[in-house]
Amino acid sequence: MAAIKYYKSFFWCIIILLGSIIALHARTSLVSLPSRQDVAMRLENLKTTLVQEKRILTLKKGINKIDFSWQNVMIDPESILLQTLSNPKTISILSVSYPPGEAALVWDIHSPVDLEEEVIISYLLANIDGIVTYQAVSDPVEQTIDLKSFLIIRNFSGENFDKITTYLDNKSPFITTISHLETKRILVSQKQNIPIQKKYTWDALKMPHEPEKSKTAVGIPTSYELKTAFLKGKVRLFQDDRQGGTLFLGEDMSQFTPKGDTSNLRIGDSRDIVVTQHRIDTKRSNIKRNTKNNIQVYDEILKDQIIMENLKDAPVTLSLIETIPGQWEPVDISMDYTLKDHKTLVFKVRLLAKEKKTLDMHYRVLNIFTQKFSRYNRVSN
Amino acid sequence: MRKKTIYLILFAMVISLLPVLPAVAKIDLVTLTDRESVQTTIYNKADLTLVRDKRVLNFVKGMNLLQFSWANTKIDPTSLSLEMKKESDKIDVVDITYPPGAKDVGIWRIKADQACRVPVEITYFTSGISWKSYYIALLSEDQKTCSLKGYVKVTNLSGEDYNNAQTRLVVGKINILDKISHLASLQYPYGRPEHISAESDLRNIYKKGMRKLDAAQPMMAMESAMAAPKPKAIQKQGLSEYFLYTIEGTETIPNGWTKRLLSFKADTVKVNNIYKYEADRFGENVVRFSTFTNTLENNLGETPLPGGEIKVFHSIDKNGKLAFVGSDTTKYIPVEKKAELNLGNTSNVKIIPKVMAYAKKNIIFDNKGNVSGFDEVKTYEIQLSNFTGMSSTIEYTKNLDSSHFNISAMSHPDEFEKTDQDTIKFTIHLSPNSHQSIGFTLTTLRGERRWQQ
Repeated sequence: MAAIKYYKSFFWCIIILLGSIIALHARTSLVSLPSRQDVAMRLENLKTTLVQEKRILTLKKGINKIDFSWQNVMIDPESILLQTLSNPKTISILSVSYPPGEAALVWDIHSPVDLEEEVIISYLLANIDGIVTYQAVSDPVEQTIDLKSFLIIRNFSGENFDKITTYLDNKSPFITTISHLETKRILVSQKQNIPIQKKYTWDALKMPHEPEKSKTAVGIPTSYELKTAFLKGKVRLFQDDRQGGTLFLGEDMSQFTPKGDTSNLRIGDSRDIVVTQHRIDTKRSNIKRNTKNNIQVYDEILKDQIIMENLKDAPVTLSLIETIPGQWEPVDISMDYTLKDHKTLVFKVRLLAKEKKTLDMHYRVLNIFTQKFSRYNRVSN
Repeated sequence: MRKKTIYLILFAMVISLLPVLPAVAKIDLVTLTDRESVQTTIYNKADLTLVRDKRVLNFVKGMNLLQFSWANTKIDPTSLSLEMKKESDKIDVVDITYPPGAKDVGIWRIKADQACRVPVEITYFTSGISWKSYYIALLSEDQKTCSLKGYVKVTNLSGEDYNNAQTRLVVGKINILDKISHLASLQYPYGRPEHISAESDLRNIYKKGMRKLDAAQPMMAMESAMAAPKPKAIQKQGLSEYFLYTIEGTETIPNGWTKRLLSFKADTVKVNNIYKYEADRFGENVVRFSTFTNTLENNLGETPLPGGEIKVFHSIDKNGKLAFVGSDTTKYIPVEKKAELNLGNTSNVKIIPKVMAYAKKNIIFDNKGNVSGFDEVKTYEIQLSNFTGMSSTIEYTKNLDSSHFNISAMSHPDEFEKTDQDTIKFTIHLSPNSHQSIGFTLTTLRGERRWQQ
């Protein structure tokens, strides 16, 4: 008997608990009116979700009070907008009132006659958003990639959406279902054969100059350059492995890239291209002194040697970036370069398979101030 | 007690039930599928393994639900991908849902134009499986060559058993934004929007692993009945910036177990022994380095060698007696590049640098009569002694405190090298049990002397 009593109590506890949960469950309702006809979610802004729902209001002649409330969901009350669709010229929204201490508002709507009015209610809903991820597969020779774009909808808003039309952009809406606490990943677009260019970049400001002295192997950042539109999102890159599968090459975060602009996606590091840089010589000249014999200004003549080795079985093009701050002039620089700005030299070096090349940079840094104006030895923007 | 981990269940359902994915009442269970084959691609620089799981599924016409669950594993749910290997024009993977209230579960909606039986491939990332390489080098009696064996060791702590899996190992450094172990541990696969508001275990693992290995025995027995057993070969292939090692056949590595495989064996690798003295790096010690080059002439050179620990032994006699020489950790060694092993300090080679003469010259004064600069002149004698009983290469490197210097009166000008603006090096070959001295004069310009042109 005690056991039965115990289970009875337990049963009622569960009923009460379930009742509480149901009572707490999210609701967005328009009092005394049919529920929403159609609902859309716009994720163009990804972080902020705009929900738009269509409802049919049965309006009586005169002023109608329409109660819109939202419990256990986070709606920005100042974002709520009601637009009349059927009779926008005759229906007037007179005022909006927010009752104290409630997640609700009341519209006063005037109608000249009894009628049914289709309206759109729009609002910004929190705790639901979209994020974008990409999956790219390059061909075995790394000339093109196939790109899949996925939208991930994360719904923690407290609201269940049944058949919601979802817009990531204005072009291709799709209908989906998303419940509270649910996450859903949807393939939204596929592009094939996008040309890519593989890039190796060695920047003297960022990379160690003597990789052989480094305790771990030094890799040169390697990336794919491509022209295609991206939203900000994680891109996972794979390559056809010629064995019927793929190899994961690495991942990077794409930034927003408009159509026609260029993106760089880093895949990983190349450890088969080795760059070593040494300063071979430093000489000073044109030393000027003040009356106290203190040095005021001088020139420096520098010799740097950069050795590049391609240990791969295939040719590569290496972008080598050197920075010379201040006022400078070349004396003898053994390879062609382009100036990215006054201090940044970019060398595009083609290295055949197993080839080793040496770049000798002989240049003069002019008018180096020692004292009062030494801050002008570097050029500010 | 852990429960079984990865499950794949295929449901067929009428479309009208779709809005209530989590409440899967009235769903007909069509098939409970097993793996056809599985491939693991294990990365050693990131705690990441790409698993490719092949199965054959029966789809009914209309909407199908495929539930994939992975409790007690370290799978990254954001990496889950499903691909049809046939009939991909008739079957559409609509979406994947991570239902509320159910951790480690994903449900794919798959729309089929007709009933069909299709091979599919499910891929995902998991953490917890790792591999490393290591080497054993056995120096010959004359220490001019060594035999080198490379091993790979795979450890599975992923929570999942991978039976008879094709195993591939990746050498290289990929760019990765998030740790897979972190992604696997998240309560919600993609997170959530910013809110506005013991020993017995080991025994169990051991028993479980033994069962898995026993289960794999019949296949191994069949293979061994057909041919004499031999170590598995490892195929090597370059892809993008990485090298892919594919282990011959399949491997069963139960969760909690480690397996070691021979990666390569090179019998005669030419070794150079170099004794280095560089006070800035090694203090006042002579350090022994052994070098070898990753080339075809050394029976290596087909692929880069992944970084790993290398233990060096010395063969003392022909009866197999060995002495441990030392160990070091090598970096990744590209093809045709030299591996340099630091085998520690040695007393068999002595390098004693001495300043035999010292002078201050060309002293200059400023307007007030104070010393403003001078030349510091040091005459060095570096005494080298080789007690190794073998010809040895000795490298003496000196890092200078200024780039304003000159060297004169060199005894070994042909062995001299200025490696950069403030580093000099002498490389000398010494015959067994011999001595030599290097002499040179170093003049360093101090103070205002540095500015005199």
